[in-house]
Amino acid sequence: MTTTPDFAIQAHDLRCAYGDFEAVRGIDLEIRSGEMFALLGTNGAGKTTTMETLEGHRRADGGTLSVLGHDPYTERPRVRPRVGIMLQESGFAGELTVAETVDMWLALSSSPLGERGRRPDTAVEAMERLDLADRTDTRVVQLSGGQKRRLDLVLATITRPDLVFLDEPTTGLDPESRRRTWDLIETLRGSGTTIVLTTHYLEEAERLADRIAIMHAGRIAVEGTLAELVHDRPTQISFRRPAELSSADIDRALRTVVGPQRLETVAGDGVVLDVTDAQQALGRLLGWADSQGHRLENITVSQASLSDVFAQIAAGQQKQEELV
Amino acid sequence: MSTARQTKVIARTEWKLIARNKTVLFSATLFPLALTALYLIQDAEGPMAAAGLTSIMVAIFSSMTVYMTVTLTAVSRRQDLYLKRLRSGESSDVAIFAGITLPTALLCLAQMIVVVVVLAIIGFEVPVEPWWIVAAALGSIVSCLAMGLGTASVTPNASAAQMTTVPYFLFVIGSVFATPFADSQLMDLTPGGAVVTFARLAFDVPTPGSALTAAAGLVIWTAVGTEMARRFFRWEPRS
Ligand SMILES: Nc1ncnc2c1ncn2[C@@H]1O[C@H](COP(=O)(O)OP(=O)(O)O)[C@@H](O)[C@H]1O
Ligand SMILES: [Mg+2]
Repeated sequence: MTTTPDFAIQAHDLRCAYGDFEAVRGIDLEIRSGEMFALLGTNGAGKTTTMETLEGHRRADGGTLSVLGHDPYTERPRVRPRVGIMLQESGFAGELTVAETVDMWLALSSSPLGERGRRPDTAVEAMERLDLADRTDTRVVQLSGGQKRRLDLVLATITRPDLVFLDEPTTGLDPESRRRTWDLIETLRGSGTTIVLTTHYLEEAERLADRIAIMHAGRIAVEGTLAELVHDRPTQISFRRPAELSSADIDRALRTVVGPQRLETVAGDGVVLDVTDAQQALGRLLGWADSQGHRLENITVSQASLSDVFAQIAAGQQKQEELV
Repeated sequence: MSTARQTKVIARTEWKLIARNKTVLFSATLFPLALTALYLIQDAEGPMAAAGLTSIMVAIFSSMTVYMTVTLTAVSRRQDLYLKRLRSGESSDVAIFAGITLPTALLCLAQMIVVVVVLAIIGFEVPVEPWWIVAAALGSIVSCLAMGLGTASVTPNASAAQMTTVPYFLFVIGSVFATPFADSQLMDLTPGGAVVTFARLAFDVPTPGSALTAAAGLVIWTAVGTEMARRFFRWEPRS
């Protein structure tokens, strides 16, 4: 499979199995150079397996895969010098200090930055930005979980790779560390680095990613820009049911007023409407309330968010699990 | 980025780790040295005794310092996900293997040299053809290194290593002691028998074995270990 230079990663019908269990069940991916791509999905969806296959840690069991124009597994020596990897879980030689760890990593890379005897500015800068600068002489075993995670990120990025894989880079970080991590990732992206990231924080994907894929049970359920993902999702309008109307009254009224758009009434005194054309629905709703003399309290309109899309896919997963 | 340079960087790091882990340093050094001293005070004389003592020394050092340490190192570095870390960089698999095992092999070699120097100083029997001792030492170290990686490939975790290393360790030591009794060239094909044959050649003691079959024996065990590692080695605890 040949890769046009526009694509950092191309995968077609990619599969990866552990014994009899197929964790990745035929996914297609096209990640453009310089793009920031986020892979979302519940635990066990297959994100890490996908990442490790793209990284060349595991051999794909089916399909075709090209990373920076090569097979990442069989042509590891050609791909790796241009790639930075932050695994979901990885270890350190705990008895080394932070500085020794960074220096070893540089010495193991073919990057000219790793030339003997000097720690490049990128490393110093990254450690400062991730608040590790005063930890250089600390042994890695003594670092907190969050500090180790940040050191992980430093190692994945110090050689200025063209393509960076980050598997849950911010899981377990406090909000301040997460913000620092985001800043670093944004700087990387600004410098043209292609970034593939997995995360459980949807706002992270919303904030950073050019494109998002949501995985579910080894497949990509949806994929696109944030706008594309939420485009066809209904907008939610909710308000409190006026005391003078019963649930049945309002149900009937809304059916005629709002029309064929999807409609849902919730028990109690809350009413929730899922509509595809929010402006039209809202106009009609308010017009009806005014003309009938009803007062609608607590009106809120909420645009579908990534979290709605995600919840819907995760719910599909639950249904499937119940069937098993 | 050459495998040689990667190996050097990983080995240098591994050496630091050994030097900072007093327990490993202690058990990998002191125990074999003490065992050898125990044999030295037996006060045996003559080339036959010298050949026996030399083979025991080589076998104990390579099986304890190299075989057991290599197995344990590979398994615990895998368990710590340090191997996976190394493998997420540019290092080749060969560089990682060589890097984490080389320091132990060098440590073993250093121990042997110390013992040889001590023996020379106290006026021990001088070998007629000393290069056979070098052959025994290097061959035994290399085969123990390969078998250590092979054993690590079938050892799920560090505590299991206490069990999985027992058979080959006993085999090495046992075959050293069994060789004088078996009195057959077939013993050359065992890791201990090969060492005994080389030691006898060094001190010009009659032996049913030959350099060729003894070398073949050590090559076989090196190949067995290498093949086990090639087939079964896992870079991470779960895979
Ligand atoms: N080494 C492994 N051996 C067997 N099954 C595995 C292994 N790693 C992951 N799995 C299984 O594969 C599926 C996908 O896992 P993973 O890729 O880690 O998902 P995610 O990163 O999305 O949480 C899960 O069902 C998980 O239990
Ligand atoms: Mg994962």
